[in-house]
Amino acid sequence: MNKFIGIVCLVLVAVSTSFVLDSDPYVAMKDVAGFKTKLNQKNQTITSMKCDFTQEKSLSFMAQKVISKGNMKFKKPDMMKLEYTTPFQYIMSLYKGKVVIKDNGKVNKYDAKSNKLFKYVNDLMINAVQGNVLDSKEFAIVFKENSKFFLMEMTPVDAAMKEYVNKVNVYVSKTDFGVVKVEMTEKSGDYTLISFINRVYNTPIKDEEFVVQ
Amino acid sequence: MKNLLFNKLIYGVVIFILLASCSRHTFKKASVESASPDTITTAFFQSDSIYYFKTNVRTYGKELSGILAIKQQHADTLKVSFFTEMGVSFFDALVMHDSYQLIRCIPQLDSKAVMGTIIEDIRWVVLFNRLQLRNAMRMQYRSTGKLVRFDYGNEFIFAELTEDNIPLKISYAYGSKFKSKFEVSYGMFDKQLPARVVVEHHNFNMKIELTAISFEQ
Repeated sequence: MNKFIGIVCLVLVAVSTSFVLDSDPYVAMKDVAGFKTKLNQKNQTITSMKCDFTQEKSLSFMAQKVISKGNMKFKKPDMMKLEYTTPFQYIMSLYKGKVVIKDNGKVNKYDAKSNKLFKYVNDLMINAVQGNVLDSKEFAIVFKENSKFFLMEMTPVDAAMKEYVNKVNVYVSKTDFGVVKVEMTEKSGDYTLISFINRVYNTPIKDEEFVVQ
Repeated sequence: MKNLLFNKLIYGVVIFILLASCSRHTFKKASVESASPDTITTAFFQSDSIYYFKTNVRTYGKELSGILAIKQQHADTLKVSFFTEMGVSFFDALVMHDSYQLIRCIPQLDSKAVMGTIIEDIRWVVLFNRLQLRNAMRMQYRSTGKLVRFDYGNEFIFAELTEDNIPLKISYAYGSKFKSKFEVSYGMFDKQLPARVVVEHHNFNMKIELTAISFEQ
């Protein structure tokens, strides 16, 4: 009997969870022009941003999800630093056209423009964290929304890039028009979801903070 | 940058084939002491079914890094995924004792020579093929401690073992002169599991350094 009640409870929890998940579905955005205007206005006010992030990577092949954490800083026009702190230490900094990676205590520098993939990912990240993708010629964008977020579903135009990234979803908060999540989905369906938390805008950040040594 | 690196990887494998006969690392002077009852023991897959390694591959001055995930699906099958720190996948593969199946792979790595090399390295990182070893022989060689040679198909594994038969280093050797293709060193043990593993190839320039990490699920 207890077993039966347990099973019924589990089913109820599952049903109610799926109901909650589906209760706020994304639908086509009603006012795309208004959204674009407000997002552009927000972007114009941003000079810098600092935040923590959580990165969830799905490994569908292994039926696993792995979570890493770190912090990020961004400064206009083109400086960004992603620092992973858990469970590994890894820094990627974009500074004056160079990609600098610090891994395992070693620093390597690359020209951001010398590699198509690097440039693509760099531009994507820098533009995505600002929500500055509206005029992108590299993506076809579908605009959606639910009660909490605006969603830009971006599909790469370049077939070669689709080998790496099939779709990029950028979630924008309806409260402050800040980008709160970026989700990259691969051809296989595996996704990487980066959530930006504790976002602080327009605090002074020195250029030197993007230098990695 | 990565295209260059992958080209180097492929180039490296070609060089490996050309230079295989020129290897300086051999166990030619190791002599058989006696037949041995030893087997290799390991704590891999005893309490966990999945292991993650922060992985750095260095070849010809170029570096590639990412996360390697190795899961034991069955006693005779591993699932392996390798992806960048930012989450973009390099490859997924099913690995059996004597074969493998690529589920997906980025074009730059998708060659039999490159993947064959990487998959064999991975097998020995987690000692997946230790039960395929036969005909153990205790060897005498330089000042090495307990060195045991095993037959591995038509090739050989030379294993430096602790008294508990936990490997400190294994060398994959071949031919009548027991030339070493590559060696795998295990270190920083925690509960008999190595937290650091280094794979070093001798016939071409490639070194893989792996550090165990634990992800929050």
